[in-house]
Parts: sequence; C-alpha cells; structure tokens
Amino acid sequence: MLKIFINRWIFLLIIIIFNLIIGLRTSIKFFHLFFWFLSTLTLIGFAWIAAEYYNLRLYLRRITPSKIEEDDYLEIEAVIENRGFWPLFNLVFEDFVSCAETAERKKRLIIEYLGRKSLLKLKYRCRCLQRGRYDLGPFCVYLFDPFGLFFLRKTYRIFSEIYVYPQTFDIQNFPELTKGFTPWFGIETSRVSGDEHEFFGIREYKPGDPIKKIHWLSTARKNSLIVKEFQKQTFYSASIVFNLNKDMNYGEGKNTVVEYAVKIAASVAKYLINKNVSLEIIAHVGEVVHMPFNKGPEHLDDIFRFLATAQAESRITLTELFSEFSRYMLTDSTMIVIMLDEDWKYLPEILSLGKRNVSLIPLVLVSSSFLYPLGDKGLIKSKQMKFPRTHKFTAPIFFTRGRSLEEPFMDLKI
Amino acid sequence: MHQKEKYLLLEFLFTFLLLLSILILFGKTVLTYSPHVVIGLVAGFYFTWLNRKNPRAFIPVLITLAFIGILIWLVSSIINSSLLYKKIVSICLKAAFFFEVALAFNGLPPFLTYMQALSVPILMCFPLFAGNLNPLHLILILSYLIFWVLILKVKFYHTFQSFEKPDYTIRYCALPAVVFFLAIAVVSTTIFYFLSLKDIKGGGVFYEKGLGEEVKEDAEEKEYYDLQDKVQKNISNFIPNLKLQKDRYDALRLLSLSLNEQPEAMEVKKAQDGLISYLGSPGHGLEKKDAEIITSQLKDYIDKKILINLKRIKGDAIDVLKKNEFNIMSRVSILRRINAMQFSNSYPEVNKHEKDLQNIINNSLTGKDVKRKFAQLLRRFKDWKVLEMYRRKLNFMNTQLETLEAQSKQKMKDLLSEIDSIEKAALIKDLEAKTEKMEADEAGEAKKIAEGAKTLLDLKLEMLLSEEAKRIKAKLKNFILTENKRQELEEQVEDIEDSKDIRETAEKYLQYETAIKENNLDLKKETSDFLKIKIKILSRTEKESFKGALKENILPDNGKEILDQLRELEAVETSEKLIYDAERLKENVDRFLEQGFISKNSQKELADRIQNLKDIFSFKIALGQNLRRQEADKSSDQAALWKEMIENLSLKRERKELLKRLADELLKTETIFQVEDFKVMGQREIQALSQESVKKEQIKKIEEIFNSMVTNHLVFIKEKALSALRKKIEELNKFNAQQASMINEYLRRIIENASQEEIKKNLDSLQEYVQRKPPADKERDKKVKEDGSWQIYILPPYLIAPVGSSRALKTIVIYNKLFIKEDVPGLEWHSSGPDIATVDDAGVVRMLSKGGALIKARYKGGESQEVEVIGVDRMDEQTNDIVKKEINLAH
Repeated sequence: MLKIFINRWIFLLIIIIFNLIIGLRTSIKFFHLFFWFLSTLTLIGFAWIAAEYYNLRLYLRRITPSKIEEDDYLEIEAVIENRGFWPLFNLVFEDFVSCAETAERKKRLIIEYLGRKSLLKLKYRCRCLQRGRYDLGPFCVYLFDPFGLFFLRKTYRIFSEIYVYPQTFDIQNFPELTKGFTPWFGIETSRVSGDEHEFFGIREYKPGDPIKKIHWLSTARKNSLIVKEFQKQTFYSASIVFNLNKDMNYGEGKNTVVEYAVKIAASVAKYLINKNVSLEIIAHVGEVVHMPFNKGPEHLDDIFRFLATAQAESRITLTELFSEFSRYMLTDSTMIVIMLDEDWKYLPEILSLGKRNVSLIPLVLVSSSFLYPLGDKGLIKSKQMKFPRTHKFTAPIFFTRGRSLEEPFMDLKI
Repeated sequence: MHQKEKYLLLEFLFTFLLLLSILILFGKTVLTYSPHVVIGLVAGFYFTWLNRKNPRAFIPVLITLAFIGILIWLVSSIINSSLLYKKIVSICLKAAFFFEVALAFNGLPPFLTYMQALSVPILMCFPLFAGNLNPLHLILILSYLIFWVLILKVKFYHTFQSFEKPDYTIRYCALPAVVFFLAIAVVSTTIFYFLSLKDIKGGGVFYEKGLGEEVKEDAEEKEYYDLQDKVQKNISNFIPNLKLQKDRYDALRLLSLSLNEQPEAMEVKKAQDGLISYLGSPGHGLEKKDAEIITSQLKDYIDKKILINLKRIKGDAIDVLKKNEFNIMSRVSILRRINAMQFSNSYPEVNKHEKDLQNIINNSLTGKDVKRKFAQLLRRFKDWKVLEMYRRKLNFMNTQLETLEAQSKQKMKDLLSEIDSIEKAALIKDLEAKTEKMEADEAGEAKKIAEGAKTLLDLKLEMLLSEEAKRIKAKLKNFILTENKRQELEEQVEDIEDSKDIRETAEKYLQYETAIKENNLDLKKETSDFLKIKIKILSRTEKESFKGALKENILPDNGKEILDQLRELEAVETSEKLIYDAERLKENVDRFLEQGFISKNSQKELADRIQNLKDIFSFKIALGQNLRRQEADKSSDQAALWKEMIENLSLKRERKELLKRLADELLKTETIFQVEDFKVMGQREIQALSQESVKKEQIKKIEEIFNSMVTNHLVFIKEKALSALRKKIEELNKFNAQQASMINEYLRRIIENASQEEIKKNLDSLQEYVQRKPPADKERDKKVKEDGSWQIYILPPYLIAPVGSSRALKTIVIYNKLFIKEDVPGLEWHSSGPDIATVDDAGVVRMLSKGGALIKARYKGGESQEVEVIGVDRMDEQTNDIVKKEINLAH
C-alpha cells in the first residue's frame, strides 16, 4: 500500500516545498494561497483519519472451509461490524489470503460507507494453486481521507487455518492386490453370500429393501421386519511407500518429482480407501512418517493432511527407508512403491519381501522427463530395466512429466 | 464496458478538463498554440483509447522521438532567447504543453499520471504571466483543484476493487468529499489572510540565511557608529580651541561633512584632510599626543566609512538587480564583477571590471532609467573604491618610506604630499614628469616607491575627474535651464566621465559641446579641466598598456628608442606632425618586427595602441585648438567693446551706425580676402575719424581693438578652414588612406614652414596633387551613379519688394552633392499666396499686393527651402532703411 502512495506523497511534498520557497522569496499571493491550501489539505486529511482511527471499533470474522483441493477456488466470507458510534467512510479492507497466487494474496475492497452499529458481509474468493497448510489473515483496515490521499492502517490479527490438499485424479484400473487373511479381530464373521460380502449387522426393514435379505430369525424375535445388512468386507491391506528425496527433486514449479509423487500417492490413497483397503503410509519427508493401517474417510483426511504439507526434505535412499520398515510389513499385503527410475537398483532388496507374500506395485516416475522436459532423449530407461520374473511382481507403471497421470492406469489391462 | 475501462475513460476526461482549465487560465500567454494543444490532446486520448487493449510497439518509439524533438527545440529556443527568465519560463511552458500532447498519445497509466503531475508545475508558472488574481482566475484554479479531486477519486477506485453495495454509496462518498474540500478551502483561506508567510520568515524552522548576515552587518554598523560618536565628540571638543572664528566655522563645516550620512567620496576625503591639517597645526591647545590620537581615530573612522559605503552601495546595486529585469547570465556576471571590484586591490583590475560592468549594463534589455540608475551607483561605487585604494596605497607607501635613506626619503615624501595635495589639472603634467624622472633616476626601494607613486597619481586623477564632473554639475545648477535639459547635460558629462576609450569620449564630447553651445552656457574652464584630466587618464592607461606590450619583448636598449618616440609623440602640438610621428613610430615597430625583436602579436597590439594614442593626442590637440578658437570667439566680445567705444564718440547717428555695422559685418566674413577688405575699409574709417575731432588716444585705442578683432577673426577663420580640411582628410582617409596621408603631409609642411616661399611651393604642389585625376575606381563611379539626389537652393533667402515691382530669383541646383549648376531651366515654382506674389517659370516674382508669401521650387524630386517674399508700399529712403534693419535683426 505504501508503495502505491509514496510517490503521491513525495510529489505533494515537493510541490509544498516549492510553494513555500517561492512564497517566502516573493510576495506572489498565488503561491501563498497554494501553499496554505496544500498544507491544510495534508493537515486536515491526517486529522480526519486520525479521528477515525482512534474511534475505530471494528469486529471482524472470517468464514472459510478448512480444507480444499489444489486448483480449486476458495470462497471466503468476511463479516465486518462497526460497533463504534460514528459511521465510517472510505475505508479499504484487506485480507491476506496466503494460499492464493502471489499477486492475488492481498484482497482489497473499498467500503465507502459503513454505518454505525451495522454489519457487512464481504465475499471474495481465490484460487489455491499450491497444496499446503495455510493461515489466512491478518485483516487490515486502511482508513482514508475523502480524497484518498492519506491513510492509516489498523491490523486485526485474526487467522484461519486451511489445508489445501493435493490434487487427485480418478483411477480407472488398478493392479490386483494380494489378498490378506488377517481376520477382523474380535468379530465373528461368517461367509454368507460370497467371498467379498461380509455380514455387517441387522437393521429394520425399509421400503425398497429386497425381500431376499430379510432375516427371518430376527424378524421373529423382534416382531418386526428385520433385514440383514452386508458390507463388502476386505482382507486387503496395502502400504504406500515413498521417499521425497531432496536431491532427486527434479523439475520446476508444479512439475516436480515430488509434486507428482504426492499427487499419485493422494490419488492412490483415495482410490484404495474408497475400495475399503486397509492402508498404511510409509514415507520419508525429512523425517520418517508412518501412518499405520486403517480404513475410512478420517484416515484419508489424515493422509491428505500429511500429503498437503509433505516436502522434499529427505536425504536418505529408498533402501534405507525400506530396510527400516520391512520387518513391520504385514504378510499377505501389497506394497505400492512410488519411486524414480533411478531407484530401480534397490528393487531386488524390496523383492525379498515376496517370501512373506507381499506383492509389489512399482509406480515409477521417469526422472529424465523431469530433467529434459522438452525432448525424448533418454526419456525412459524401461527397456534397460530388468523385470524380475516372479508372480508377486507387477509390471511397473511409468509416469512421465507432461503426460496425464490418469493414462498409465487406464492402460493397465487386467 | 469493463469496469477498468470505465475508470480509464473517466480519467481521460478529467485529465483533459484539468489541462483545459489551465489553458484557459493562461489565456493570452498560450493563445497562439492553445488550439493545437487542445486538438492534440483530444487526438492523443482518442488514439490511446483505440489502442488501449493492444498497445502498438512503435508508439513508445515515436513518443520518445517526439520528446527528443521537443527537448532539442527547448534547448535551442532557450539559447537563442533573450534569457530573461520570463522568456525562459514561457518557452518551458510551451514545451511542457507539447510534452503533454506527446504523452497523450501513450496515455495509459503511468503516463497518464505523468501528464497530471506535469500540470502542477505548469499551473505554478501562472502567476508570472498574470497580474492580480481576478475572480475568473480563482474559479479556474478552483475547478482545476476539483478535477484533481475527481482524478484522485477515480484512481482510488481504480486501485482498489470496489465492493458492490447498495446505491446510497455515491451519496455517502460525495458528501464527506465536499465537506472535506470546504473545510480545507475555509481553513487555508483564513490562514492565508491572517498568517502571511512573511511572519514566519523571521526565524524558527524557516531560518533564512540572510538573517545571520544582517546581524553581523549590524555589529559592523554599530562599531562604525560608535567610532563616529567618538570622533564627533573629540573633534567637537577640539574645535573651540581654534583661535580664529573663521577656522572654527570651517572646522565645524568639515566635521559635518565628514559625518554626513550620504556622503560623496571626495568630500569626505577633503573634510578629513582639512580636519587633520587643523589638528596638525600648532597652537590649538591640544597636546601633540592627543591630537595624534584624534587623527588616527578620524582616519579609522574614514576607513570604516569607506567600507560601509562600499557595502551599502553594493546592497543598493543588488536591490536594483533584484527589482528589474536582468537576465540570469547578466545578473550573475554583474554580481560577480561587483564583488571582484569590491575586493580587488589593483587599479587596472577595477577599471577592467568597471568597463565590463558598463558593457553588460548597456547590452542588457532593461529600461534606460534603470541603466542610468545603475551607472550612477557604479560611479559612486568606483569613487569610494578609488578612495579606498588611494588611502591604502598612500598608507602603505608612507610606511615604506621609513626604510629609505634620509635624502631620498625627503624627496619621496615631498612627491607623495605633492600628489596628495594636487587639485588642479594644470599641475598634473609637471608632477607626472617628475614622477617619471624619479622612477628613472632612483634605484632599489626608492624606485619601487616612485612606481607606486605612479599608481597613486592614477588614482588621484580618477578622484580629480569625478570631482571635476561634480563641479560641472554643480555649476549647471546655477544656470537657468529646464529640468530635462539639465539632466541631459548631466548625463552627457557622466557619459564622458564613464567613457572608456577615446572614440567614445570624443563622440560624447561633441554631443556635450553642441548642447552647451545651443544653450549658450559658459563652462569653458570647467570643461577644459575636466577633459584634460579625462585625456590624461586615457593616455596614461594607453601608455601603460603600450609599455606593457613592449615589455613582453626583448628590445635593444629596452626599447628606449620607441619610448622616446612615444614621449615625443605626446609632446607634439599639431595634428599633422602627430600623424606623421605616429606613422614613424609605427614604421619603427614594424622594423622591429622585421628584425625579429618583437612578435607578430605584440606588433599588432602595439599598432593598436599607437592608433589609440594617436587618437587621444589628436583629440587633445583638437580640443586645444577648439579652446583657442573659443578664445578667438572673444572677437565678438571685442566687437561689443568696439561698439561701446563708438557709441561714446561724438559723432552723427548714421556714422555711428555705419561704424558699428562694420564690426558686425567683419565678424560675418568667411574668407581671408573679405577680412582683408574689411581691414582696409576699417583702417580708412579710423583714419577718417582723426579728421572728425576725436581724441588721438581714443583713436589709438579704437585701432588697437579693431586690429585685435581682425587678428582674432583671422585666426578663427584659419582654424575653421583647417578643421574643415581635416575633417575632409579624415573622410578621405576612410577610402583612400594613401591620398589622405599625402595631403596630410603637404598640410603639415605648409603649417610648419615659416617662409612664405616654402608655403607657396607646398601649396602649389598640393593643389597639383589634388587636381590630378584620381585613378579610375569602378566602385566609386558606381557609387556616384547610384546617388541621385537633387538639392535646390534659392537666393536671396528672403525678399522685400514694393508692390507692383518684380524681382528675379536665382537658383542653384546640386546633383549628387557634387555637380553644381546655376539657373537651371525647367524648375517648378510654387507660391503660397498667389494673390500677394506670383512667380513664373523663370523664377521672376511679381508683387501684387501688400503682405507675405512663401515661394518654393521643385526639381526632379528635390525641393528647395521656402523663400519669404514680402510686399510693401513704396516708401521713402529712411523708412526703407529702418525696415531693412528690422528684417536684418529678425534673421
């Protein structure tokens, strides 16, 4: 704000000084009058805004969602209430929306008139381009004189937290996961209708329920229609493993290895959680992050929150991460490793888990495409990669920069 | 339309109105180009509006070119202007308006903002071109301010996104703005009327540099006045001790002179000298020591007075500079030179600065009055400066004297006191010779002092000159003259005083001389003294420069030969010899050049100096002759004496009249032969007197007077003829120097030779030379052809004739101012009163009735003077005589 107005002030000051000098040196009335006019303008202007400033009783609130996905528009509503005795003219309201683009971070709105004891709802929105955790705020109120030449600023330290989740994409096909045999502890399950469907419980009949599903025994016991409820019960469990290595974070802007990795991880996590797979996250982002197996939307939220803030701060290799966690790996599970093609050399070690019936799904980011985004030179080294011939090994899915992330999954033939 | 575009359009509109209000405000000043500016602005804004979405790349290039063009125009206009700051500002103003137009073609922000900002300095130029603020001005300024407010508002909305709210916002945003504006207007006007900026000028945060100096000056002045009090007290106490009443009165007068608040430099000096001489004289009852204390106090006081006066006059000069239109360059150079003059210590330097200052003032564009005022201030300044330098030099030399041996010390002391006490122009020559002799004779310290004495003499001369000028002015006050005339004469005297080279002096002197003659003023003595000093100063300066130029070269015998010649040149008394000697001197210098003793530059410089010196000396000679001629004019006094004597004789009335008329007629004669005739006639009459019972003594006296009258008149005629001849020669010199010098040479020989034969011989050869046909000169022939003027003269210049008679008028026609023809046929005659007198083609006037008429003749575009013809009744001889006499008197 100062940047916008400082030139005007300097110009005004120069004119005042010139008038003063000429006025003192000569007796030309024009300069005297002009000098007094400009000086009075300055003085009364400041007096005006000072009076407003010291009588200012504003209450501000921000209403905003706590989470949003990358590239989505964030709708914010600010409530501004004048509890002072005097009405306010010509004030500029400013909110610092840190999640927006740099140019759009300061949202400024002129409020020409705010009556005494009145309330105003301001709505504004911004596009959140970068995943992360942000604090919106503070609010600033600039009080202007009626000509809009001078201002005083008052800051209200009101902040709101918001998570911008990484962008996800739809996954159409996904390689087959290893079926687990681990039962739900403490819950007696019986196979009634197929492998996939687990008996979940009973509930009262609602119109439209198939008659086939009526649990007559319970109906008799309760003396009302009771139906059986089934849930698609899974025995699948999967671990997503990735290492956000700082030194291998190729690319720039939003097209970096890390951003791709995070996006893939988020999408896969979302897909798997939706499929009711029990999911574990093992990652290194400067520190080791381990999110144990769990299901459900809350778990997904946790994962997303973590992914929103994950940064490429790791200095260790994938093997080191793996060696630390391999012994905790569940048998009969799937390990989804998001890796660079450069990490291929660590693959044999990972494959040793095959003994414990842990299958591997490598999601490979082709590093060269991030290094040389404009050419195909040495784009992919897949031909040089030796794929181990075991049944536990799924063929790697390659991701390159510039290519839609959905495509590699679509290409899968299951 | 997009919101941002709306703002842009509004800003265009308000900016245009902003500039339009200034254009109207400036009115006449910008009238010549204001339509162009308006059209340019409209076109520029329209152009920008069309290209607002995708500005063309070539526009900035074109605008930069336009800027460069305007800048070049600006610089060249300023350089070629008169440099008066009003002119400079008006040029800058024009440039600023065209900058605005150029900017309008790229009028998107930030250039739009630059346009608005530029309007403020333009507005601030307005008071330079307007007199008092009138209501229209105020309204326009007010509207200018309102447009600014609107622009600020638009910018405000443009910068921040407006929050769309119910429509009452407009009401609520306009209201406080109006209240705000009114508050500012009321408060600022109130302050403007009740608290002038001058009130805060006195100090506080607005500390002015000048104030400190004023305080210092005050201290200085206080010291001066303290000293003045002391001097006044001491001398007042001392005066009653003087024995003679006359002395007491004189001392009192001197004291009051020296204490005068607005004194003349020379008067103060005189007063001081007088008082010191009273203090120094024995028998006033004071102890010697006390007298010395008072003397030194007085001297200190005078020193201080000089410094204070220099400062005051400088202050006055600066005031004049401030209040009048001087351009910046001359302002600076004037101030610089005044300062240099104030602190300079060498006489030539002061002279040089003075000359420069005069040039600057004369070349400036200010009015005549201001120039005159400044010249007066400058003269006063110089007077004081000269006095200061003189005193300093004298004091310094007096201290130097102490180092000398007793004998030469006394000699030098005498010389210095002689210089100090000199008061008349006549004595200067001797003193100058004495000083030069001493300079040549003495050696070592004494020589240095003798050299210093020369400078002292220079300064003294300057002082004498201004004193003489003042004397003339004082005398002018005694004559009965109109104020304008007196002022004119005074200015002429000042001009002569200020003139820096001989040509200027001569020119101014001629004007002065004519004016004096016109008004019949008796200022011969004063003028002569004044001019003598002026010439002395000029010749001394020139001589010094000549010697200086000579000194730069190594000459055999230190250029003694040339210096001797120069001395001789100064002593020459006739202009012919002067020209001859000057030629010889020049030849000598040329010879030295050929021999390699002096450089080409020096030769040039020396030749210039010789030319100047020649001019000075010839002016001196001419002046001497002029004065002599004025002496000869005394013959008219003698004529009066003659008439008086005749009146006293016991003779018949007619006879007396005849004798009286003889003197008048004699004075009217213009050739030597006529004078000879009258001489014979007069002698015959005088001899006749002896037979008419007139006493012998009386006759002798009358004869004596008559003879001296004749001799004087002869001298007068001779001088007149000579000066006319010299004038001719001077003219001839302009296009044929060789011929002129030849004629000059003959003339010199004629004047110098005493024997009749030689004169005759020379005269003959001169005539022969003159009559010889000059070599064909095409250019000159052409000149003759081109000049086609006809002049017609009718004789007699008036005519009285009885009614009924007829008289023939004689005509002389001159073609080309060269060919004379008498009685040319084909003249056109015209009479103003054909009922009184008619005139026929042959120029015969026939008187028809009583009364007067004017007769005129025309010939080929030329027109004669008017001849008055008077018709009278035939009358007896006696009346006829009286009438004739009356007419004689009238003409």
